[in-house]
Amino acid sequence: MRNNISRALLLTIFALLTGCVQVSPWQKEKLALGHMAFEPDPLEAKTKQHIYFSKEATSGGYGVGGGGCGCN
Amino acid sequence: MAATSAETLNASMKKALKRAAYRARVKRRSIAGLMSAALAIPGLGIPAIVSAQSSPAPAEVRFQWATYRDYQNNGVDGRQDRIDVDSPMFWARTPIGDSTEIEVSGMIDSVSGASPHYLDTLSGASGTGIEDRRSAGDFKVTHYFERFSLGAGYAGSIEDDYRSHSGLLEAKTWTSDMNTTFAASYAFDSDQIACTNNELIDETRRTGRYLVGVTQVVSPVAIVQSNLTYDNADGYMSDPYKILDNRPRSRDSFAWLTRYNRFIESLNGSLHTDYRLAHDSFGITSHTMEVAFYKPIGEKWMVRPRVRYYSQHQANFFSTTFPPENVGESFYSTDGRLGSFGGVTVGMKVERDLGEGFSVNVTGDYLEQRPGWVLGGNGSAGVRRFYAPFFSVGIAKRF
Repeated sequence: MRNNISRALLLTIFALLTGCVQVSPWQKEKLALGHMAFEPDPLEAKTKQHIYFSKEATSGGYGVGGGGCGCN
Repeated sequence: MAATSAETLNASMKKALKRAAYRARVKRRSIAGLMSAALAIPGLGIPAIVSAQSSPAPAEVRFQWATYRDYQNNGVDGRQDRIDVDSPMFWARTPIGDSTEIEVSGMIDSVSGASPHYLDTLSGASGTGIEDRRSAGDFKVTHYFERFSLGAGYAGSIEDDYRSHSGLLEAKTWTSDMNTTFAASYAFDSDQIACTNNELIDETRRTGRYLVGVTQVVSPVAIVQSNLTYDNADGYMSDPYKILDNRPRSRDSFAWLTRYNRFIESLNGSLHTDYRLAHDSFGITSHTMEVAFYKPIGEKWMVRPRVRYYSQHQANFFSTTFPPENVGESFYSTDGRLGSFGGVTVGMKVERDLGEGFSVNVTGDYLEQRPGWVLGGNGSAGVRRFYAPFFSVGIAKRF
């Protein structure tokens, strides 16, 4: 399982670094839109992560901050 | 004397060079600032962050009231109320000077209801009413340099039976074209676990959390992010409210998240897609997929439907038999959250721009979990269906 994850991750990084076109600052109008951000609403993101953390066995991926809770 | 003059000359040259370098930095920052201002599209009260965030974002304050309720099928007469949670929350961010940013948030969770049934009333704390209040807060300070940023933060959470303190360090660096950002962060959590039903339980857990990630602009309308996180937890992992619950005292967890956002010209909206694969030393493997679409309507409105699917395969020591055959001799848990099940969330958010940087939003989500929805279809028999609607209303002010 760990090997599979490492291989998939390496492939993704390789694809990210090689498979994209050069984008200049003046071409980033759409990328600058608020709703193109990964987390446009930080409070909504916190609420979602907290609810899923208390209902599902796995968490992680989105960040490392925030600490724990009882959440029984 | 001559040597002294040379030293003085040398020192003044150094000063001049430093001044020139400083002016160049300021100029670059102003150009970058102008560029982000030019690229910021007047819209729905959200700051524009152009792929790599290389300077403090504008000040912003948010308040939100979230309410969450879940129900469980009790196997007899259908739905049964379980837990009610009300959560007022705030979040604020502000730049301090040219190159420092502070982010702070706080929340209070008021919980009332009962702990989960899952298998039967003997194995859980169901039927026992619980009232709990959780207060949590965090802050983070980030300093931006020419090509990298460093951040440090703290998060704390306090309940009657649980205390958590966490420290965070974060580093980011970006390429000169600002199309690629690399991130690395580390957090250390120290948790104290008690039990309101059993004063003898006074346990601790320490967790180290690590993240490496890359964010890449792939085209003028698409951006992708991939993060790998590893958590190493040592200490008390069991649920003190579940009879005979006995979990390993260490846990290693991996999660790999990839997010892809794409602006779709023909629909004038942005599509967000996430996939997360996670695996841990309990033997749990999970898949999470989420799709959301942000659709501005006219100048003032935006709607955002989303759907999320989650599937997990059970922990090695999860059991649907109560009591266990060898009490205390092996790891054992009947907590349905460690079982095999799938979950679906559907949700809708509506946001309205009120002008002068103000906006309001309303969000409604519905989560349902069923054993039969696990990938492959062999869910844990005996784990009961969960239903959970959650709603929130929020207001934001961007400065």
